[in-house]
Amino acid sequence: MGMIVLLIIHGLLAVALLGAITHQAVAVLWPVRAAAGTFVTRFRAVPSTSYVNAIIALYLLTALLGAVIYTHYTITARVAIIQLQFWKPYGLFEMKEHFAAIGLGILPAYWYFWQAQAASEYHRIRVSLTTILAFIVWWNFLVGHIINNLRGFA
Amino acid sequence: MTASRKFGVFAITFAVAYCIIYIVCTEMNWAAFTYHSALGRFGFGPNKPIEGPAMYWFGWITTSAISAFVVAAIATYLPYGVTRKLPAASAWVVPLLAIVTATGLMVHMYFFR
Repeated sequence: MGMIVLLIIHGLLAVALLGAITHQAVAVLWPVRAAAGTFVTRFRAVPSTSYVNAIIALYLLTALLGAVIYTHYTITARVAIIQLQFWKPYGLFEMKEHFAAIGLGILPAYWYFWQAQAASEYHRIRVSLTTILAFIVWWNFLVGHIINNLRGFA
Repeated sequence: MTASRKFGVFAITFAVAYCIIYIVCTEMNWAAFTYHSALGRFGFGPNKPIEGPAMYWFGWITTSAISAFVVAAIATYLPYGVTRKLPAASAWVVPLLAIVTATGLMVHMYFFR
């Protein structure tokens, strides 16, 4: 029961993280040139810099909860997945594990390149780091759902 | 060199070192510790499984984070003439290559068996 509660909180944090990083990624990849009008334009017009600390905090919290749940996954769902020889979903989850770890390593650089001093000078690096982080978050979110749907517990 | 620039050197070096060391750790199994999830017990270094699976992931992250921290901390004390040669773009190029490498390894291990 405790793990189910943690899984739900992990999922909710992941949704918040997904929303924040998607907003930021869209804003830097597809910046608004004119005044905000439609929903899509307003979506792109968010002040990206204000998301940085929240994204880092959400990433760390989501990863921390994921790590706790992961210990339970290895003795429950993972065993069943191996017994059933679901190697492709298993491989997808292994990628999730590695991507999450790599994401942790780029957080200091992500924070640095979003700071005011580095902002104008390193625009492309900021865009690239944000895109990589967005890819990791989207991948981990979707694969988490696949594994959850596969066995009812991720 | 300002404190901010120093942190920039640290952050770039950390990203590069961490990603390279992490990939090497996964391949060589250089885990700082092992977590035996069925027993709720930790073991120093990479242990063999005891009554259930052995989790190395936490150990790989720890090894990578500590090693990369040391490398990055040393880099901040290097002269500016040396650190300016470190391309800022390596902060995203190396992690991207690490992602591609991890994907290749996982596809090779689990998608063609």
